[in-house]
Amino acid sequence: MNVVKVSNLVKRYKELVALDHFSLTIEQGEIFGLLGPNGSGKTTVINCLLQLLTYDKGSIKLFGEDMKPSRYDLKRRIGIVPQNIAVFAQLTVYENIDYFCSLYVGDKKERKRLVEEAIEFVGLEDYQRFRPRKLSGGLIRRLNIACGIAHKPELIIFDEPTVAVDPQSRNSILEGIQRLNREGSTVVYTSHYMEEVEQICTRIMIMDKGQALATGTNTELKNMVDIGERVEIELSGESDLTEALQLVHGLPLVTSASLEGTALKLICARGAHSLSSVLGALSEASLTYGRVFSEPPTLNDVFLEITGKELRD
Amino acid sequence: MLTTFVTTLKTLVRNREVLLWAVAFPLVLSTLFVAMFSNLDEVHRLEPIPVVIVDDENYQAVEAFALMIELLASDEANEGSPLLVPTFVASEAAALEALEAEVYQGYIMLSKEGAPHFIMDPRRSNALGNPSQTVILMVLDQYLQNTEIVNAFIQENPALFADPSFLGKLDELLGGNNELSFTERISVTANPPSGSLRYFYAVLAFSSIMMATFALVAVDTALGNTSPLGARRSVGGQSKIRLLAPTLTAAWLLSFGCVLVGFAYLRFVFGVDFGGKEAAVVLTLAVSALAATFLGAFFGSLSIPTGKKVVLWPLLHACFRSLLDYTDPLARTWETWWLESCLCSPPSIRCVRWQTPSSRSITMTATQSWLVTCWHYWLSQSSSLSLPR
Repeated sequence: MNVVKVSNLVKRYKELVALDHFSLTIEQGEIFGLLGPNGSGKTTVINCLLQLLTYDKGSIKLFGEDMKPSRYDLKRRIGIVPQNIAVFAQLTVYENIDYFCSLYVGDKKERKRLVEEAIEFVGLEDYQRFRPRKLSGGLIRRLNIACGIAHKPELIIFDEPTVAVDPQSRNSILEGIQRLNREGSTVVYTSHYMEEVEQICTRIMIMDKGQALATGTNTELKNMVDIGERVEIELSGESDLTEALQLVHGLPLVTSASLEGTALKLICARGAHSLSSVLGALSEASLTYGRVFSEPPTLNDVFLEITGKELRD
Repeated sequence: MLTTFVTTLKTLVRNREVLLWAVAFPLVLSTLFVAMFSNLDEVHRLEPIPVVIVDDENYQAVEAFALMIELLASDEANEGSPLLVPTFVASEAAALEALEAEVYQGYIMLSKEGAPHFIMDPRRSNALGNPSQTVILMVLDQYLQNTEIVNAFIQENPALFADPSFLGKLDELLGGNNELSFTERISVTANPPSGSLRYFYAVLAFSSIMMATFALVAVDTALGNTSPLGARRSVGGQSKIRLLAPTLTAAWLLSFGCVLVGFAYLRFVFGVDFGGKEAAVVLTLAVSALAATFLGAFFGSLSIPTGKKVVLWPLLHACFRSLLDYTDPLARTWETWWLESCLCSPPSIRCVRWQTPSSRSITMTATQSWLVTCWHYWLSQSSSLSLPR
């Protein structure tokens, strides 16, 4: 079942086209990663989904039904964890979660249970009576998440939830998202951190300039670009470094090579046995080497390959 | 809706900045106003003037002057407010000695010719003069003027004074019986007019306007186009009316409560006399708080950062006030006008108020209507529709 189906969405800000015939489908049970540089249109997509923004063209269906500003029944099935902290500074942790839960759940007893579960889920049991200004950055982020998930929504949208948090809190948040997904929620996740998306998302879309550039699983995306593994070879002192560089440049499987000190850094073309081929060529030329590092292509490589390396706003 | 109402109340009551401007500041201003204006009425009230009269043979020889002093010091002849409190001494030396007590404005003695002399105590005067001494001088001037008139008549036509009807008329005109007056004093107010009350109305009106901050902050966090918090609340599965109605109700209730505190502070702590119109004042404050809530809601719904809104609305308010004050220098500030015209000013003042700034009244009404209309339009257009990028 399609939880989200966006078709040919167009959103303009005067002359600027923020979304250009953008389409998106998210299946139930997915953790869907939305990747894109700053200004690529990720937040615009989310705001359109939530009917916070009008759009010029296209259609949005949630849970198989047309999404309109007045479809409060559909909105009640969604949870949003915005990029900016959106909680009341004057309310305690418990009061904040209770209030946001009350927007979806009227019954007090039911709400109490849900609020306590949410507090336990994000690990804020010891901070229930604290006001946000007394919480650390990581704890506030967790409160921000608890306010969005307390009512146990079927679709949860996380808009860069791990910005400016320490590695422990980030790990806790990511594990929490996976747990929510296991409990049945469909997740839309946007982030600049490729490793996070790579770690938790079942399907990923890379978008830029309001357009969907590529969609697929982690592996599918990596297969879309002509990038193989990265190899770093520490050459020994007796080796002629210039000769080694010229040698690897001549190999057909090497797309780029550079020398940093005595380290030879290579990016290979996609395909098997790149490392063994390079090492074999060095041995044949009697060039000796010490440590060797090799890593498969990352999502970051794919992202840069697809969206380009020029700086964005 | 109840949760939203309670939450709005909690957030506003716990917002120190809002409380400072909406509650503490008006209370401080009230205190300052009381300190500045509480003696305003006393300044305009003439207290009996203590004066020393040299009761020597010259004084006793002029029966008319002694009678005048007796009348000016009489409670009965002056409806309980005598002009003078005379202290009689036998000689000028005794009068000078009496002045050492620094109680008297000076002493009055008559010359051999019967002309009164007022010797003022310079220690009771300053560069701007002394109103009490000026009053005594005016009374003596009047006495001398009347005496000169009568003397002139006697010299020109002594026979006139043989005519009893002329003497009777003269007595009437020169105020012998004190009952003749060329003007009639009537009271058109239930209470004596108060010169200071208008300033306390101004404080209450100012407080009402400051209460707009409550609605401004409340609406700022409730609409999708105003803040991240508002955006989150607006996607919360509740209609706009279910979100805004309890929010505005809480803001109004708190505004009304706070302005009532200000009113109670003036009425019961400082004992400001509102002339028995307390119920009307409370009712008007309720309406003022409602108007302020609408005004705050309008500014709160603007798609600009919260900090700018908080600065913007008092700025616009101040500009508006300045404009009104400029166009009609006699006018009060428009908050004062708002309250005074609605309730408790003495009718005499109210008449002036309604006659003088009629063009302003029209401007006020038009502007208020414009603000409310804009606000409604903004609400209908905002919500989910215009989130800034």
